[in-house]
Amino acid sequence: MSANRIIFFLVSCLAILPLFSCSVGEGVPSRPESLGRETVNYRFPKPDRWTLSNGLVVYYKQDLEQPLIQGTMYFYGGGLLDPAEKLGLAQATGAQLRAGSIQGMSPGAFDDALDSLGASIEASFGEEYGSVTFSSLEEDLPQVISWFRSVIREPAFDPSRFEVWKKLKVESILQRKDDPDTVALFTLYRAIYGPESRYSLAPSIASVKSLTRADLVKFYELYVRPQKAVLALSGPASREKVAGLVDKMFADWIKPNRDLPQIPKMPPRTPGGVYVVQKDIDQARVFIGHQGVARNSPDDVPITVFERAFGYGAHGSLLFIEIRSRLGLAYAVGAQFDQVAQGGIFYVHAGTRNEKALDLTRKLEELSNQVRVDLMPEQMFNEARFALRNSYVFQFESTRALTQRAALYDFLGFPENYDQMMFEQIPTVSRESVKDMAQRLILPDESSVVIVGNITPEQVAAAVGKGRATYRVEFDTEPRVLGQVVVP
Amino acid sequence: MKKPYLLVVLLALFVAVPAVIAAPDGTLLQTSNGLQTSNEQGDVPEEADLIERVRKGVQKITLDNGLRVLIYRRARVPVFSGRVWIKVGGVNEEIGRTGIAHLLEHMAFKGTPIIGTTNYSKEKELLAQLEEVVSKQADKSKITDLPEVKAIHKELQTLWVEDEFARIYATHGQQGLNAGTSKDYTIYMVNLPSTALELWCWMESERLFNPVFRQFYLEREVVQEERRIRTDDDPDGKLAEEIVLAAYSGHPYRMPLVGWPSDLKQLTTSMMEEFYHKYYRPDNIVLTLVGDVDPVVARPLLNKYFGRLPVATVARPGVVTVEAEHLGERDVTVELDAEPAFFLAYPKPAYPDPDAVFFTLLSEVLADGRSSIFYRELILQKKLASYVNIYDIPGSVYPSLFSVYAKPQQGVSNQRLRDEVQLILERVKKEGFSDTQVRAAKRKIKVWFYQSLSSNGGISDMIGLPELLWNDWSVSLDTLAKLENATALDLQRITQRYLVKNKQTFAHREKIAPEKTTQEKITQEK
Repeated sequence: MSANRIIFFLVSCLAILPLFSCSVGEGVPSRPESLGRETVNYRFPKPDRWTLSNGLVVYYKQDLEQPLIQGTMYFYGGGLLDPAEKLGLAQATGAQLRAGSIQGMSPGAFDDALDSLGASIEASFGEEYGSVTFSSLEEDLPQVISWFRSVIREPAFDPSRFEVWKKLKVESILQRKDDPDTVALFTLYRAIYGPESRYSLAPSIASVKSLTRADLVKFYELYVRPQKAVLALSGPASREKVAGLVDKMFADWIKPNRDLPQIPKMPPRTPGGVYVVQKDIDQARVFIGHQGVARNSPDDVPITVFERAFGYGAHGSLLFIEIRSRLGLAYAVGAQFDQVAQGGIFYVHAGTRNEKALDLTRKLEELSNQVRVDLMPEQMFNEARFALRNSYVFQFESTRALTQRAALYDFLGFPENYDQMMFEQIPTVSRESVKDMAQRLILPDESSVVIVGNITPEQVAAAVGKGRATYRVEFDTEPRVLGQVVVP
Repeated sequence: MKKPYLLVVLLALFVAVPAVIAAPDGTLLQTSNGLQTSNEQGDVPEEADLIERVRKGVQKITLDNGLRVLIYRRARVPVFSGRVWIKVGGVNEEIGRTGIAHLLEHMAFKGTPIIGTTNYSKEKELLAQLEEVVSKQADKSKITDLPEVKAIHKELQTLWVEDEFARIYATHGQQGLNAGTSKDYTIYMVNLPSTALELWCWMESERLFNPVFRQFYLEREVVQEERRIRTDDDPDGKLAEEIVLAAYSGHPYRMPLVGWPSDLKQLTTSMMEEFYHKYYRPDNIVLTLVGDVDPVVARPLLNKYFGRLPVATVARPGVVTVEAEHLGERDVTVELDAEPAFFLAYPKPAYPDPDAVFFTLLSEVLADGRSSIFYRELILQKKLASYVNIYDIPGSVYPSLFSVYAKPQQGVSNQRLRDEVQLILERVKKEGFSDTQVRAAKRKIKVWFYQSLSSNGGISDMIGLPELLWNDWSVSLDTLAKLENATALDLQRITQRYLVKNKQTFAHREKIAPEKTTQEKITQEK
């Protein structure tokens, strides 16, 4: 099958467009629905995929439209795998892969060299996995991909750059409390996962300061390897040219097989409480959540439809209509399932003026409970389902995005035709199946409520604390539960 | 790679709307081996250079009523980006009515006599009743608490179909439905499958032609919440508001884009109608259609739908007040419970002043990336700053501010870091810049252009905004050519001319302790 002849899509029910020139206002329909609702059908374009003998998987799709070649390599490993006393190690290693330069080049020279070509290389590790990305004009590809290779295979971990990173990381830890949503989210993790779990811990000033260059090297040696790594590339160059360069750079990259540490399991699920961080802000943030499900769960299809119909933070979703459009209570409101390898959380969130924070809390809980008890309104539900399906084409608007997506999904262990499967199954999701999912996965008894705002824990406990514990929380660089509040 | 953006505060329905570059952008640039992507498969793009391809492919249509449309066909994926640009923003507001342009942008999603209601004639009467009640209140801030208003709202609720406008788009597969307001313009954007072109024409022309400002007093509350997120509770947002207020004495650029809370509380539907009629007129509007759109098919549809917009009978109001010359430096302290930071801002000219374009290059050399002067010296070498960047705020049509934003490291004061910034500026005024630096900066800007022109949205911005602001869609595409001729001397010259101490404004955020509330009794868990 020629790569150039992939059938992109078929559109059914084409509207008949006027062939004559229309004069002003002539024949304007009274409602837009009569303009036709096209159902868009297509087969998803797929990049080429091949595997090197060392295990590295490569995805490539040619893009003749613009002169930039871009690539991203994904690696297993992240903050959840930091040794307990070395929180921040994964982040540090990711940052230093690039900032610490490559062997044989001083950091300043490396920065200047990339800059002079208008090229870039960046690297980072998140909680579960990391990536190294490059961008280059096609004419500079051989040089830039060789630097890309060096960042991945021969990083220098320059000590002075590492010291700079540590200082900047300490600054950013100090700035956490300046953003109320960050305070709320960190407190939510603490509430849901408890004080001991890796999922509620974040790098501290002490843990960052304790990191050494030897730690970076150790993390790097363990996790940056070709086995299970996936590389996504796109750009105007031919597949042959790109494959040749990839071979040259990575085919001889051999590392002995090793069993890698596993992502920690989720802690046991516990009943929720109410956590209040008093902060002198004008808009209180309310976050309500509990443990959810892992990535690639059997409930992914109803979850996706539910998220769009209920919690998509934009016009047409239930939360948006009720909380924002109808009540004018909030600007930002939403709900989602965050799904990671071992589990995840479900949460709803919104922000409103302090005097309405408790009303908002009650309303959010009421709406979350309602989806377990009642079917979602039919028209809204059907619209959401239809909208979700019809906008799938946008996942593939950019060659780079579609190639990265294919690579990342492969890397994360999704089945090969995941998008096609979702696209076909979304129209079949019923309101009943969403209600069934909600009954199993949305659990008010397990919910923790976090409120960050100019409100006292006592006020909160009196209003919404019945039947559960309310805690006073202080947040300087992380949440600290000071004690339980008792309402007299 | 971070591009120093125009800090266009796009007050969108969602937070994540990208900023648009201020100074215009470019044209054909010959690279060393050209951009012939010779590839073994033998496919050759229609026009080798992307920028030249865009320039040649743009078609402009002007309707009889003065409305302009730009179409660029890019048929690789069966989708298109449709944007409506209106030349009205914060700069057109009056004291006492700040925030009205942005609130109008919110109201444009509330529907028409057809969309958003089950019975418009009944609703119209109720809305008129509501407005009559409003007109009788001296203080309009507590409208929704009044019993008469609650009763009227209760009836209106039975007629309202919330968010119907957006929901119709959604079922046709929209993506990225959003809007934004800046000091200079308002933009409505959406991406749709290419089969939905006529739908787009219907929807956008109807809401321009016939908006109904329903749920106004509820949306007034929503916008106040938005202000709380972006400004009141955001230390950087608050600092940005303060630098602009301080750096402009009289020019309307100074007023907060999201509006003062006191002003927002007094806005009424009648004021909104008045503002809408002044500025939402075809000679003040540009549409861009980029993607799988056939101009031959589009032209009659555009005429049919947008040709309906009536020609305005009066001149469009202009902006009157000119900022007076600064006679000395300004210093503003902002005390907040947050880590310190500052803006150091200098007035700079706007396009079409020939010096304007060089500021893009100057920002690049001074602050973009690890090789930039500020990063290298202030973060890496001297370890005084944890972050430095340069922004061109708050607008593009009138003289704006070349603004250095920086965060000092722990133990370093704002003033000390500012002094170091000024030392660097004095040095480059005397010694200039190297050709290497200038060359690298030009190349990075060129790469940024290619990245922008790789999406329907990026192309839309590149042509739509200059057409709206300067009646010339190619201004941005011309920037690269202008910059190609720029030299290190040009950068040195503008630094000497504009970045002068007696014209600077320094707004600095100083940390104060959080207010202690009365200590409540805490019962410890046993």
